[in-house]
Amino acid sequence: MAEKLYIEALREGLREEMLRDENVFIIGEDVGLYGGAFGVTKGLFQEFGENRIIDTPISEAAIAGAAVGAALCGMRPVAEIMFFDFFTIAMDQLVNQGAKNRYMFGGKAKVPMVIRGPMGCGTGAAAQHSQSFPAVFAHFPGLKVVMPSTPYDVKGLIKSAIRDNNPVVFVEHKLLYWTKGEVPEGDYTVPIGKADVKRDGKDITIVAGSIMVPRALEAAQKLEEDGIDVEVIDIRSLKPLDLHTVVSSVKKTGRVLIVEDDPISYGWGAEVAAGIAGSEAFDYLDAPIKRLAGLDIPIPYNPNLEKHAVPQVPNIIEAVREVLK
Amino acid sequence: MATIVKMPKLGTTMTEGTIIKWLKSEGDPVKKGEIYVEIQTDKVNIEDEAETSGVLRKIIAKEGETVKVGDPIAIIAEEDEELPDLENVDNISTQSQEKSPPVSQQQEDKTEAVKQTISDKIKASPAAKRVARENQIDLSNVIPSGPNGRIVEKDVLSYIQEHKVKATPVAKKIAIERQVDLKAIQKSPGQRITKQDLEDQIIQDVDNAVDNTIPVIGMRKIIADSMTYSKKVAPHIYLSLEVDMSKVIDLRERLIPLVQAQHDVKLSYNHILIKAAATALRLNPLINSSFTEEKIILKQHINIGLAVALKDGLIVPVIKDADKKGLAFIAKETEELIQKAKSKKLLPDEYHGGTFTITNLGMFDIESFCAIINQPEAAILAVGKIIKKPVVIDDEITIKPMMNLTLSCDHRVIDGAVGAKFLQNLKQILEEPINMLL
Amino acid sequence: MTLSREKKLWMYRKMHEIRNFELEVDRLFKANLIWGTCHLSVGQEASAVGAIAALDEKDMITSTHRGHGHCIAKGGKLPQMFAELLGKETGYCRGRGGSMHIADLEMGNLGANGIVAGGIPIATGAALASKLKKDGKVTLCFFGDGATSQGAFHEAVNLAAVMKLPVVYVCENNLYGMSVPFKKASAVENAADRAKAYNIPGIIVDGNDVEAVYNVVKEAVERARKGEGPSLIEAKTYRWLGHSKSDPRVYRTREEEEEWKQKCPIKRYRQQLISEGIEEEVLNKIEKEVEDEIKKALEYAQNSPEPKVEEIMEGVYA
Repeated sequence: MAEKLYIEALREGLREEMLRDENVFIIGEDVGLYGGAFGVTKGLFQEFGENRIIDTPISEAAIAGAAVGAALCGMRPVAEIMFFDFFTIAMDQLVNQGAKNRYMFGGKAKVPMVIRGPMGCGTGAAAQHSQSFPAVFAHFPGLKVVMPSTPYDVKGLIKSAIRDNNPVVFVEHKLLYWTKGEVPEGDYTVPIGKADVKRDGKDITIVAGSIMVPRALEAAQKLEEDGIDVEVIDIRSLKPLDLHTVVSSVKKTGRVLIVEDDPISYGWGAEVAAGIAGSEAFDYLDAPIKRLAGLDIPIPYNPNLEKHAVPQVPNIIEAVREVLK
Repeated sequence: MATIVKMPKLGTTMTEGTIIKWLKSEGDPVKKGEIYVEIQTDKVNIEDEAETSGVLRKIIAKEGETVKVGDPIAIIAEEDEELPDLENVDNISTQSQEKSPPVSQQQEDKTEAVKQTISDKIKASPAAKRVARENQIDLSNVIPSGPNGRIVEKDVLSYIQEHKVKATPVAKKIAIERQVDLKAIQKSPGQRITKQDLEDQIIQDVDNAVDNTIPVIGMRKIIADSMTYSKKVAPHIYLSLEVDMSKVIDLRERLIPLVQAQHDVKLSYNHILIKAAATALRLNPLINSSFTEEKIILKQHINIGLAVALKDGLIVPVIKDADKKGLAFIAKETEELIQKAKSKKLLPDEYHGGTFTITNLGMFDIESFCAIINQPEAAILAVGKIIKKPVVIDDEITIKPMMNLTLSCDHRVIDGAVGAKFLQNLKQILEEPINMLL
Repeated sequence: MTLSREKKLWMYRKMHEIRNFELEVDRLFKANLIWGTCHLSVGQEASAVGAIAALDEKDMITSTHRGHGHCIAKGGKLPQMFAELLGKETGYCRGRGGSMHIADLEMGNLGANGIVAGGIPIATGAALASKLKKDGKVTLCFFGDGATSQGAFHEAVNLAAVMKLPVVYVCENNLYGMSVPFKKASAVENAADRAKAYNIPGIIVDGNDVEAVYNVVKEAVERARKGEGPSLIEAKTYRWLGHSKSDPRVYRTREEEEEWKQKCPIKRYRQQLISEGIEEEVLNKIEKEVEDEIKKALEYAQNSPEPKVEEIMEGVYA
């Protein structure tokens, strides 16, 4: 095991898959010589050349559409969208085409593509470069959506995503790229559709995703000093959603707080909350299910306002205390 | 409109009060202004008036229970009204938290609106309902501890624990026959009450039958705690001497009519003692002090407390700045305070802030005694009865009215010689009262 | 079309404002006083100023993520622009928009835009409004070479051409998208060549010659105002600095950059004005005034208050 950066682990995963399967290629803006806007593909152009690391004009619709088309024809493209916000430009191709081809064609086609990009605020990129809305894609049948939060998970999940025969929306977070974690040597995968208990506890369950996982873990550590034992679940996969892990946990603790990066209205946490309330965990709830998520506003530019737009560690601590009152 | 009655704050330093007696029961009607509960704070009893009319729907703080100022003690409402959310009661323990950012609480805002609807249902979490269901508990008997008057799981579990009585069939039979309350029998949790336990309990009940008890609450508890504490922290030394009270007796005779005329009170020895002590304290500031770990505080003011016996305890009303007041005024003030003390109407400010205490048991024929220092003071003066005694003056026996003064000193502050000097001064003042004019 | 002396000096002044503003922003960013990132247009001053000089005050523009120059030329006030970059309440967008989203609808600035080609359909829409309202306004739409690869470009220009809308599309081709050179992103050599696909005039101009830009845009604006429909103008230029603040510019050579710096639009114009008889002192005075204005504007911004967190939810809905 070695400690690696999230971005390094991701790059390794991409590289290893490209070595393993010649049908895998990367396509996107400035992914070649430039190495990717955030540096994810750094060095890959030099190793694999311009036929497998493909720079495109600024054309998200074409990028997504080309990935769909290539996948339908047996390739395994990994499309990079520079900022998650720009997924909106690729919507028709991803949603009306890629997500539906297999079903529409009677199960006689498959679209084994990955489309990935970083969401989230905290870098002052303002309203059109800081959004989080992974739930939108989980809503469309035919797509899979994963949201790794650690170097270990990102490498394991990119491999699973590439090997999966369905279109996978691979959701990264700008603030996670430079976080560190243990990553084993050699090939390994993380299954799509399984949540992960990142911390055991008995007083309350926090269900978190993406950047909120490290924040929840930090909050849990602080709360431990006050004798509050927090269980933290990394939801990891939005589609398929692993409610089973969540329900077992809530049955144990009786209290749950869901923490998300996306704006609260219609965020993925609502789906988890409904899932809990409708499950056998209902009879074990000792307090109402609580959600903590971003404000319903476009992300502001001003750094102080930006910080207040989404949950931070003190907010999580306060919310836990609320639930335990 | 339902009202949640809270423990009132009745003195600047009051932090909690004890319910002494509910003059009404749950379900009784109450009129606004009617006295319906007696509360004790430190040492005074206060009768509280109902702030609104209605029915005393729920008694939250029971008799003997001590409750923080601001915490709920009862609910007055209409007869069939829905009892209000106890969450609306702001506890004094709510600290103002460091300003937290307004991260979305939309979920909570939505449920806030829903809470307004009145329903007959008891509020209980699903977990609580399940436990109740599994144990056949009627939730209306369970006291909620959750927000908004919600019964949570642990409330039901507590209820079960409290009401769990395990007994053998034989024991149960005897209990019914002999009318023994099974709950009164102490047993480790989970253990069954047996026939032997019943028989032991019955014997014990007989033994206990004649004993009366006085609960150690309120003033009694305070006296017990504070006297124990004083003896524990302050190493007491006792200095004793006798004072020739001839001139004081004389002075008193002459002043009685004057004081009566001025303030309509009878001048007593205690009043003179207060003035004399105040004068002596001015000359001996160390006696009028207070000990703390880092420093001894020499008090600016001379506030003399006079111990007053009550029916079931004692209280020490304080005459503030006794050195600055005239004898007549001291007499008036002292008598007023004693009256208040006896009728338990003394306010906390009137028995706090003393710097020196005088206690006099002369009226009970006590010739001398050693008193316990009233913390955080440094000394206390015990006064005995004035007795005509044979004394030797210029080698001749003569009869003089002598009074014993015993000064208890906290040796952390007052050494023997220092205490002795004070007593000497006091003796001088009493034996030559004109000194009080200085 | 001879320009008045006043107009010439205005253009000279505006180019200086832009150059100084951008360099000041660069300095502030290096000193860690600006949050996020910035896309600076140092070297592209002439295309912004020359084009906007051809507009009437009531006309409108849409801009790009590299829009400080457009905003300043269209009347953007330096204090409010600095304030917005510093995230202050007194900025054009109350500190909420930042560099890429500066707008001032009253001055006809329909906004910079963080999405490449995001402003092109909006410009088409503004022109549509003018046509329906018959208000005689023309919209000037700025975008870069990279934007011509977006589907939105095709759709918006096509629609405007079909409806003969009063809009002028100005492509500032600075030869690179982010890192990808135009020749690798386009099968046609010039962006203006695409005009044929829409049957509208496509004109190439030296983007660093401010008066040349002015002349070409003026013609196109007049065509549009007369109801003859849109034009596509390609101003060839170069950005001296990287795409954004995190760009080490590995995709081009320093020699290339030096070559273009020699063709600095401001230096060129100064020489031109002097050769036309404008006194050097007049030009120096303008430069000095601009320097002072920049200082004052920055001070204003630095002394301005931060937005209040309690007001964070304001402005989402009308």
